[in-house]
Amino acid sequence: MQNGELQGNVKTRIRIIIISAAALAFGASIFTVSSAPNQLSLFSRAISPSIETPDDATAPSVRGSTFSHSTRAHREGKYASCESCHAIPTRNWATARKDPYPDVKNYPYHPSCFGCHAKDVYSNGGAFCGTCHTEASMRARGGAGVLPFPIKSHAMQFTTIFPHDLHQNLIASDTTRNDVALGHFMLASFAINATPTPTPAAAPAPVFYNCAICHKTITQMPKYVPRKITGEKSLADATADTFTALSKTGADFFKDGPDSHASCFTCHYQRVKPAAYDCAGCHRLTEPYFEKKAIERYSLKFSHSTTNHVNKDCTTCHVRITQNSDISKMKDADVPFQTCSTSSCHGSNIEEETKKREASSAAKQPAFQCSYCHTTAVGRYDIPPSHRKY
Amino acid sequence: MYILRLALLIASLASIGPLCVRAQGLGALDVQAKTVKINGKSILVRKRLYLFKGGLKDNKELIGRLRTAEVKSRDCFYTQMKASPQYICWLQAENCESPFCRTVATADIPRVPEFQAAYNAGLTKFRGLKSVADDWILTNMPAPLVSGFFENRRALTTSLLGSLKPVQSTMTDSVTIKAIFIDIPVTLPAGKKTETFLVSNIQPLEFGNKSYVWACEVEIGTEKKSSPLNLVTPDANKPQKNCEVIIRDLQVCKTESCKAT
Ligand code: HEC
Ligand code: HEC
Ligand code: HEC
Ligand code: HEC
Ligand code: HEC
Ligand code: HEC
Ligand code: HEC
Ligand code: HEC
Repeated sequence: MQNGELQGNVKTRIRIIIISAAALAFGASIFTVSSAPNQLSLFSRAISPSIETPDDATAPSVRGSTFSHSTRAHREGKYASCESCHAIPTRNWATARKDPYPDVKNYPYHPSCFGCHAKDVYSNGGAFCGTCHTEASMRARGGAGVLPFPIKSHAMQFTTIFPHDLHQNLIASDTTRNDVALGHFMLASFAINATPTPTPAAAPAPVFYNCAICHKTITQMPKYVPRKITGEKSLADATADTFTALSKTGADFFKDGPDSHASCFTCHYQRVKPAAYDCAGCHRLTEPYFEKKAIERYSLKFSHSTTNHVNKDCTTCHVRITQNSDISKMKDADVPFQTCSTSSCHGSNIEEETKKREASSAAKQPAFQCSYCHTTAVGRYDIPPSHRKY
Repeated sequence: MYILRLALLIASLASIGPLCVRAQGLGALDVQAKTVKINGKSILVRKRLYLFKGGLKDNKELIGRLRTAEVKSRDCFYTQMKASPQYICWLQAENCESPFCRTVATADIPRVPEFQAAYNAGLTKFRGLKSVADDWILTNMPAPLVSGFFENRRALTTSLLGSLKPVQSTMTDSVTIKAIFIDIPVTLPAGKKTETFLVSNIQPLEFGNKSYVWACEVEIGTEKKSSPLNLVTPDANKPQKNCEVIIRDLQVCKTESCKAT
């Protein structure tokens, strides 16, 4: 067996046995169905009759609240290993998606919790069951009775670890072709909608494989907002924005990014570390947070799809992405102003707008709001130093 | 963002002390690599370049290591890993260092024994789902044939760098074939308008049966415009004074020749 090789269901079964054994070693006093409270009768039909409980002293008390990965008992000892709860693939993988692939599409199963939480299981009318089931009671059922995993309304507890630098060394360095068709690295399920937005360019756009396996042009208008400017002076109140035909914000202005394992497991499922079962290799515990639902932009007039943008390699503009080792350190899409302002591209635009701004302030008139790349939400601020180097 | 940079700058200024106040600033560098051609083809496409403080003289030890590095050619690596000739040829067809650089087409599967074996293993493992077995073919191949060469080169780079820390590193793109370094911390020596830096690809670039390493000096200032550096095709008759290009013959291991695909 190669390192990290998964044995599918076999492995899962072994895992569950280990957990029960460990729970026993925990000093559990085994009780049987008959000694349990009344409401257990329903429950006992559903799951195996012998449930282990830990010492009363360490037994937690829970009232159907949200599971936290930061709770000490949930991350110490053998639970430091994510695998102790999360099975990969989960039994439902083949039916959980339209274009299925082996994935984590379900909660940990009962033995991962019931050992420590035996008391909670029977208390409060089975509120604990509501952690994972639609029915927060002993009447909880399997199948459709299990909540969709993960629960989207819950705060995220992890950030993703993905080093662009290493992966570019790996994917980008060899090829001199840009026109490789997508497909094999990516599952069909990962592609959003069937009909791609036609680009203004007549010829089909080149595909920059080294990025496009994970970032694609968006085909349905996403939510978007101008990025909040901090640390600079706003020189005027926002006014109504004007757009040209080319700068009118459209879906194909934007790129998406991975929101599933599809673009990772093609390489990492087994053998290539971190392998799929090593959740912590790609997920870093953090303060719970809610993901921003809208794409933030400095330039809402920038389109990835216009003729003179779509024909550039992604790294022509994203000049620092190949040295980024930690996406959590990226404050924005990191397209330094210099990459737009080189004289052949937008040098004249920034020169012109700078002059207009300076003229307006010299004439003590309301500040000129830069509108070539920006909407007024950004264009009414002081000119940042980066914009002075063109 | 630039507030942060400014704070960093002030912090680094403060550490120099009041006696020798040298001018500090941020510089930028444009490395043009389109002109580096072999057999009419630009070869420095999507290649990583590193930036170091100091010129060729200051980095003598690094240059020494680059000159004597033991470089194993791709073919030799894969031959030693017992790759099939079909697999080696499949990689060669697109000048690939590893299978990550091109898609495994469905038609390639029966042609390359490693792919066929991995596909078959995938079918068993992935509940007979052809699409997964096909898309995830690399997950069922022996690791040395998949990420082995990458790891070999990563180890080589680490040993070549030694304790030397690059200021930055970035890659050339595939359209303009340029590498752009920005926000380079520059400390101007007394009386000078620029500081000397060194640019090198460090990792020997394999082309034909030779390997190539560039190490070029460049002056970087803190003026508005980026400093330019042009990398050129090595020419024995016209050595460049600011560049050292190390060209070495590689051991040949290939046993069979590949048919053009
Ligand atoms: C004690 C059992 C347990 C352990 C150990 C555990 N998890 Fe979980 N995990 C859960 C449960 C239960 C949920 C569902 C939580 C919810 O959505 O309410 C979950 C959900 C998740 C989610 C999706 C929700 C989110 O916050 O993004 C991720 C990702 C995750 N776990 C990763 C990990 C990683 C990484 C580790 C190891 C560091 C780990 N888990 C260890 C039980 C566990
Ligand atoms: C090693 C023992 C242990 C295991 C296994 C365990 N828990 Fe817990 N759990 C605890 C302890 C201890 C607390 C803390 C109780 C307190 O602070 O009152 C807790 C707290 C909780 C809470 C309250 C919120 C929080 O996280 O603090 C929930 C919900 C919960 N657990 C659900 C689960 C679920 C679901 C599983 C199985 C996936 C699980 N636990 C597995 C010991 C465990
Ligand atoms: C940590 C999440 C979690 C908690 C808490 C939980 N379950 Fe489940 N339950 C599952 C999962 C996962 C399945 C398997 C679903 C499937 O494969 O369809 C399941 C399945 C079931 C089934 C179907 C039969 C079986 O065993 O597969 C019943 C009945 C059930 N649960 C009852 C309960 C009851 C009652 C409680 C509360 C005492 C409870 N569950 C608490 C996750 C949980
Ligand atoms: C193997 C997958 C993968 C590849 C290949 C990849 N990325 Fe990413 N990229 C990610 C992930 C994962 C994130 C984080 C997304 C998130 O947190 O929502 C990300 C984030 C980004 C972001 C930040 C997005 C934002 O909204 O802040 C940019 C910009 C980006 N990538 C550009 C690129 C470029 C350019 C390339 C090609 C040189 C590339 N990526 C290649 C996976 C990838
Ligand atoms: C012509 C320059 C340019 C090129 C070429 C380019 N980008 Fe961008 N990219 C930008 C700019 C500008 C932004 C938005 C920055 C802002 O306004 O905050 C951006 C934003 C992004 C984002 C964040 C999401 C969004 O749409 O705002 C991702 C992801 C991204 N680019 C990926 C890519 C990928 C992948 C490619 C190659 C297929 C690529 N970019 C090519 C300039 C470029
Ligand atoms: C084209 C194949 C490929 C794809 C796709 C891919 N990876 Fe990787 N990844 C690798 C290889 C090879 C390594 C290096 C393994 C080693 O160290 O030997 C690696 C390493 C890593 C590491 C460890 C980095 C370190 O510093 O050791 C992380 C984390 C990671 N990948 C996350 C991801 C995530 C997240 C995705 C999906 C968004 C992804 N990878 C997609 C091939 C890939
Ligand atoms: C090779 C890297 C990698 C590994 C290993 C990995 N993940 Fe993920 N995971 C990702 C990336 C990338 C995303 C999508 C990015 C995001 O949502 O921020 C993701 C998303 C998720 C999601 C939400 C996506 C969905 O399907 O709705 C869950 C849940 C999750 N991971 C759980 C796990 C668990 C549990 C494990 C271990 C069994 C694990 N992951 C292992 C990289 C990884
Ligand atoms: C050619 C397109 C372009 C033009 C013209 C342009 N900008 Fe920008 N601007 C950008 C980009 C790209 C960014 C984000 C990257 C950066 O800050 O380097 C940005 C960022 C900004 C920011 C946020 C900086 C920060 O760090 O918070 C402000 C404020 C701003 N611009 C103001 C202006 C003003 C005022 C003008 C007119 C004088 C102007 N811009 C003209 C492209 C442009």
